[in-house]
Amino acid sequence: MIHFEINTRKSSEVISVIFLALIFFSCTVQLEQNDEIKRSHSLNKEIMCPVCPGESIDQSQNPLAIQMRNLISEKIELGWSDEKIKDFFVDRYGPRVLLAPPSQGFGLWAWIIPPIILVFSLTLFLYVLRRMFLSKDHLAVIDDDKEQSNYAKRVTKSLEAHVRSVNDMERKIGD
Amino acid sequence: MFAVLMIWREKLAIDLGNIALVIAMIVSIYAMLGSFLGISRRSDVLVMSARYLFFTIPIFLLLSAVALVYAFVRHDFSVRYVAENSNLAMPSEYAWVAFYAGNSGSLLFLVLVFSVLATIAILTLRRKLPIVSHYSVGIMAFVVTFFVFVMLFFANPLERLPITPSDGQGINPLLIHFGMFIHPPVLMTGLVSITIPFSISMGVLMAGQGGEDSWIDIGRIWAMLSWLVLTLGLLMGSWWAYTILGWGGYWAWDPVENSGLMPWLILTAFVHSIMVQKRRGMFRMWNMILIILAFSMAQLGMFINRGGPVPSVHSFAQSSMGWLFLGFMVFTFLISIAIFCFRVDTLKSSAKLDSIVSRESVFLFQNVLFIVVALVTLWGTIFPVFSETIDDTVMTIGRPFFDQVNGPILLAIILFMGIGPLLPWRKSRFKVLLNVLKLPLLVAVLLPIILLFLGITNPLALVAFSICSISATGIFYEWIKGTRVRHRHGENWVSAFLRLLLGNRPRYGGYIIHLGIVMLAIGVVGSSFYDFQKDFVMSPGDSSEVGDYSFKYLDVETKQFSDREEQIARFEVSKNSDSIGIMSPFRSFYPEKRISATRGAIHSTLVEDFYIVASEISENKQGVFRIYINPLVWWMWLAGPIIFLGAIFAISPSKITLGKRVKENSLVS
Repeated sequence: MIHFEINTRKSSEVISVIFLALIFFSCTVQLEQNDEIKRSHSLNKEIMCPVCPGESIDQSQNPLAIQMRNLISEKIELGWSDEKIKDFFVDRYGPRVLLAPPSQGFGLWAWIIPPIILVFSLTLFLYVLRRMFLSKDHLAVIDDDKEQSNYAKRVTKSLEAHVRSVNDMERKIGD
Repeated sequence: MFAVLMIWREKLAIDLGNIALVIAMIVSIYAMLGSFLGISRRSDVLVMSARYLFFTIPIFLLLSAVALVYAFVRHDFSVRYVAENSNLAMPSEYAWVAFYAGNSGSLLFLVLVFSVLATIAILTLRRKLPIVSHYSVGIMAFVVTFFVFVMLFFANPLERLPITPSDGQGINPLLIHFGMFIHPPVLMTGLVSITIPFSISMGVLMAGQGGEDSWIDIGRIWAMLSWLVLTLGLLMGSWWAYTILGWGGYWAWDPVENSGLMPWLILTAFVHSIMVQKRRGMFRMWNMILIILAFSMAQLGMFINRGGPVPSVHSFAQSSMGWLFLGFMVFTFLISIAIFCFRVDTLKSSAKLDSIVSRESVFLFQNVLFIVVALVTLWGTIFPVFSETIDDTVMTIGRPFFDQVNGPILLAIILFMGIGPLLPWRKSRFKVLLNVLKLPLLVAVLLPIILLFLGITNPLALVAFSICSISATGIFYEWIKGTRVRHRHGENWVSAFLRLLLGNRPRYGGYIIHLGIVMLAIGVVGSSFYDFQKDFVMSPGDSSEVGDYSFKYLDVETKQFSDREEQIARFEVSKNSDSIGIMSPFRSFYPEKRISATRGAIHSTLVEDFYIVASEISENKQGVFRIYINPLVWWMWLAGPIIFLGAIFAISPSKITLGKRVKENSLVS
């Protein structure tokens, strides 16, 4: 049995690793992009095309978006900082041009609420879990720990229970 | 004479359609009142007549739908909806698309689909859960009544114009695409079908049978079906966005995308926690709350989609009836919560939590995370409304926000997707947890090291891939282990594996879906962290190179159509000097509507997509072309069929539940 355990582990390990490695092999496509291009792309993704609601200038094919993309590249070449470029567009089109709200003023609320939701939900979850756990009636708790966790045994068990129906199935398939 | 007859026939079809709509309304009001009155008066005649009349609703709605499609096919522009959503130039197969492309037509589509599904649901319910089915008929009839009411009084697709125009306005050219045949109907079906498990659950609650878990099997099947259709609808939308919109992306966190995602998240939580109720008789209250939330979120989607206050590329133009749906959502939500509170004493769990380390608690935790993502998404979607009304500044919440806020939580969900199924029900210890996690954790540590050697250095991507590997390894490990056990009992490998899966369909179907989700996650991670794009200005004859790809801009061809002008660029592309062939991205311009559409050319492989978009092509044939290299996107589209298979497998009836039927009870006895 011990021998079998090791065997299974080894084979599944190897197979899984090979499979996953194969999948991820493809991620090696990393093309060299200089920092300026990277910066302009990430900025493009953060700025909305004013005439196409919800679309960033990165995704929009509107002439205005193309113009704005070029403008960003120019500003980066001139040595402007990301913040300065963003401010430049906010001055022109208002704060709605940013796809992520600024983390100051009213926009701060957008960023504050999600962590609050998370913390509140997790607290509630822990409280409920504790209550559910503590309130348990101490009935005869069957210690089926090993039984439950031993997956191989359970498979064997279900196999024996279904051996007749499996045979039936075979007969049916045979027909 | 013949012409007069033809016109008369067309008019008759529309009139018949209208009459059918009115009859559907009357019948559904009767079914609603008959069910509830019949139950309270214990009248078999009333409830049975209500049920059988409900079965006729799909027929009347189908008549209306046929009348509308007929009007499209005949180009009957005396009908307002036809005039607004089609024109003579529209290809005739798009009559079907135009049917649901606009606001009022899509309502008719929704209610028709819903009534058909509801009829099937009642047929499956009536024997197993006779009392519940009476309540469910009432609830479903209420929903139908609301939809038909909105159509008849606010947005009738069969409404006539006072003067018949000579040609219609035509359909939005961006919708002329194969995706339009599948994405909207599937997604709409998914959203409206949430009402089925909702009606069943509320019926159970109203009938006071929440303590009996007899409804779980049937409720779970309907919830899974709804989940599946919604999942496919969302995936199809992503695929469509990826192939047509030409921005190399598939998910933009647009308000309407979010409004489809939120009910999906809650429904996903529901299909998991309902398994806990099925196996352990726990989480009864929680499940009711989840399905009420899922239904409300779906209604909220209707509000956002139909003239809600948030601008979106998906919105139906100039529709102000969103508020009706908001009212409906608030009303049904309050009523549901009231019923829930009234019946909460019937929902006591039959079992207690035995251990913090158990599958139950991980399921609950995962549920909480799903709800957090849904609430955060909701917050981001409606935040612009707050900022406008309270602070008087117009703000936008888009992809950068959602990626940063939801990304980590979604990753945590994937992590627990890997851990949860490995834990036993009821009780476990940390030692056991560590034991089952040994191999997945080993792979999760080894994989980033391998990937590091392969040149992947982004720490976030490494963490994400590592988390994905935990899920995948856990699943493969159980499959291999179980198959080996069966193999040792004398079955050959293939049949051992298949019978292992067949032995516990909900579990292994779930595993197949999880594998699909892992693939989806791999695609998302790969394409988000390692997407490459570059703009090229090229004239015919120019060649250029990106990575392993080299491409030559051959020429551009301009084609004139009655409604548009198409510019088709031709590229000769090769990778590592192996020819890929000709790729043709194109731009089309619709002068009447002043809309230009672009369609990228994609060369897709398992490893990466090579994607050319024509951003701009000028008169002298010089063009601006954008090249994307999006790694692993193909895995996302492959996830769709796998999730489909897994879901069907998970709900396929096993021998035990087949043929087990309870006799139909009478209310009186």
